[in-house]
Amino acid sequence: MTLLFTINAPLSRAVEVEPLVAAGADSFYAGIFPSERIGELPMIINRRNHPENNFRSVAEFRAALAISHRLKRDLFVAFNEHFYPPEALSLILELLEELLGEPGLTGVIVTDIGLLIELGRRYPQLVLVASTGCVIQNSGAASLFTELGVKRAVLPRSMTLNEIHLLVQARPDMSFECFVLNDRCPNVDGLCHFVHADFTERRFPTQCRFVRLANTHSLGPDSPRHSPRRASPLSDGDFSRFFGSEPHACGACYLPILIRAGVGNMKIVGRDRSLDEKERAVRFLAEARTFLMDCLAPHGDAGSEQVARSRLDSLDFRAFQKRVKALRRSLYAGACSPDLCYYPEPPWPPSRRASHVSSRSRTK
Amino acid sequence: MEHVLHISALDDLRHFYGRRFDRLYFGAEFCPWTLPSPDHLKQALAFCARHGLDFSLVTPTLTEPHLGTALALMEELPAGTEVVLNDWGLLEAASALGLVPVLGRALLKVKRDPRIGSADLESVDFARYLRSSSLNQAAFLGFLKDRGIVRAELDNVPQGYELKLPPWLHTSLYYPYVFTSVTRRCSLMNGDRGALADGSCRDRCGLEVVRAALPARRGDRRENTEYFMAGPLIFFVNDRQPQETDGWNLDRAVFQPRPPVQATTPSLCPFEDWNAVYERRGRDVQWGHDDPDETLLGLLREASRSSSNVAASPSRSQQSIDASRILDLGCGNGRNAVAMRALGLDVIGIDLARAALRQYRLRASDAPVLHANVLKLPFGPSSFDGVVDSGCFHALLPSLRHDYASEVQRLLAPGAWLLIVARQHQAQRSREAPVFFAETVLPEWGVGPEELSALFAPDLSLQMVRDQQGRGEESFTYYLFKDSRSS
Repeated sequence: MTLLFTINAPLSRAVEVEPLVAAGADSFYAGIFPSERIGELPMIINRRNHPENNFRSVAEFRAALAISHRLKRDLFVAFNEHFYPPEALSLILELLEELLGEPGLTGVIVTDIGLLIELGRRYPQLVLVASTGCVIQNSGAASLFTELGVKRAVLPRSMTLNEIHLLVQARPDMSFECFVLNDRCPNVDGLCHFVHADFTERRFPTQCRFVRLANTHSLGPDSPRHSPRRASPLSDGDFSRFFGSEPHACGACYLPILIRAGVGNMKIVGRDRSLDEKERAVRFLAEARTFLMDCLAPHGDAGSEQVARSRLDSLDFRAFQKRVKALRRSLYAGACSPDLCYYPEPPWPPSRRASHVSSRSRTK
Repeated sequence: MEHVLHISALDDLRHFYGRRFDRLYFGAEFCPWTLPSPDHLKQALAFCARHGLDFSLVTPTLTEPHLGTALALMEELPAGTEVVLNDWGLLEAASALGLVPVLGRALLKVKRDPRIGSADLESVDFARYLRSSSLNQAAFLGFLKDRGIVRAELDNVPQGYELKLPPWLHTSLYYPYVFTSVTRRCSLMNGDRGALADGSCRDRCGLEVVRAALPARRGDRRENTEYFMAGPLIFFVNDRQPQETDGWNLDRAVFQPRPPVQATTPSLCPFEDWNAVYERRGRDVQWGHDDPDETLLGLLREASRSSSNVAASPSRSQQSIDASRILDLGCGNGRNAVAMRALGLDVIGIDLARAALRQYRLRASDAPVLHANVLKLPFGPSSFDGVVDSGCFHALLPSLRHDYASEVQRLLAPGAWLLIVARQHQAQRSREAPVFFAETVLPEWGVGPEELSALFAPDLSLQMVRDQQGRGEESFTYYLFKDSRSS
């Protein structure tokens, strides 16, 4: 039984399904870039374009579908590149036609509105998930994508807890998903138009890689043009503050606030990670969930989830955070910091944030 | 071509220049904290009414707390007003209010990578992919049409677009800033996260330039890519005219005088930083060649003869051409100044671009040159017998023309002359320029004889106007003025 939220885990190999389910995964998302069709398929098939981040064959993806279906886990496939040229759109629809012939594929994660329209028209029963690239940050945008058949939206990493709360409360008919753990890109995905083509065009790596090579000059609002106060490679401090200290971003200690807002799904970033790392992330989130249930409904009796939800407002948030941070320390090296957090908005530490959200919360 | 001025703050209305702009875009695209107040919106609307301009409200990407603010602004607009949408969340409301929705840049998916400009795109397929966008899809076009969107805003991406748009969909092209990405971690520039604190932003957007060595060819480690980070925006500058616009249905050019974030962000417009133009382009500018302007030299001789006959200036009437002291405004690489000096003239060259002056000194190490602004010259009154301006006047922001005229008149001795070489107004040219940059790669503001006469009246009178075909299809007009004051 899923309690409080689903843990949506990244997947890139069929052999990962069972261990990740054992670690606590409730659902999966994956990309597919079949090597037998490289050359036919578009240059950039999804937002994690490298083959290692994707299933390399239709056969293996089918195997993963069969296992997850047997274990009663949802599996979503991501075709979430920002747009596909017409010929690429046809190929993706053809590939999906193949995959949808098998039981077990729950839904498709999409950014491209053209693809959303085509999928909605062809497969009205398919769960369409608006990828973070759709930039659904407000209820108006949520309405538009609902009209296009979207049932669930992955929220941009850049949203604050308060913004998430207000949006989710305004759209109780929609399911929402938030990112936690691993890479925490500073760019708003749907508004980021850097070429992500590490694999197909190596000269176009992601920005966070090439900016390491860069010299920066601050021209600031008051600085005269060409009077740099700094003309040097981006400092580690700046890099860390902007890009986050890869690879172990977090956000787990804000789970109660996300749940109280009405977010039902937590998405672990990291299709590119090893199975060990994926397992560690899933286990971390699953144990954090167990902590939370222990805090809210320690007896675990029937209806405990409902009891837990009803007690969220009275949760000793600081105590929960302390436990989650201790757990994190035991699993990951390094201390917690705003640069690692998905929700770094001040005030920090977040006790005031919790009360701020609480004061605006409406009971779901 | 409809010309648009896009500003996000009323202060930037100073970039408005009568004839050049047909429409005002008002508002920001990427930051909800820069939404204008209702009062500022009213002032902008009133400004447009006064100047006969069309108006479009530009709305940014929005999170839930800002949605209501943006909706309230839209409610202030008369039905039929255009709204440039950068968030899908306002589309339904715009239609309900009878406003005309435009697909903003933030809603159009296309690759806008600063590296593309310097990359050698060996793969034809990849180049083709880069030139495609959501607008290449029939389904997306149908979606736009169904929702009453008949205009899409394009960035001036260096790779261009392969488009064959249906006749109902028109496009606008933004210049000179191409937006690449948006972040809400504005802290790299500002040092804290004020923008995320409490629904207000106390920060002023800084500006960071990033120069990266990204190999366009294997092994090449030169810094060949430049982009900027200002507030939430990552962007680059592309002031090059698109090579091919067939199929784009392009009928609007949107000029942004500063990076589209806050009014505090410095401008990077090429005409506000000529040094950068020379540094980035080297000699690859239209006027960067070595050939002197023979028409100018011929007129100079005439001017000198004319000057020597000025009865009102007896003290100078006997001066020969070689005794004249001449100022070359915006001398650039010195191609004309060198030729004038060869005629025996005493020529001082001034330019705002140090890089241009370095080129000049390479040609003539002993030449008198000064780094100076034409609006504030380090010379006393009546210092010159003649002033030459070849291509400087038409590159000045039109709002600065009166300052220019005052300064030039201050420097001219009684009876002296002024020779200006400038482009005509676009409408007077032999063919309409395809987009904003006209025939050159930089924006220029043409001028006509009436305007120039009015500008320098009553002390300077127009003696001669001559049109001249330049290199290629270029066409310039030469204006010779004479100072009619008595000494």
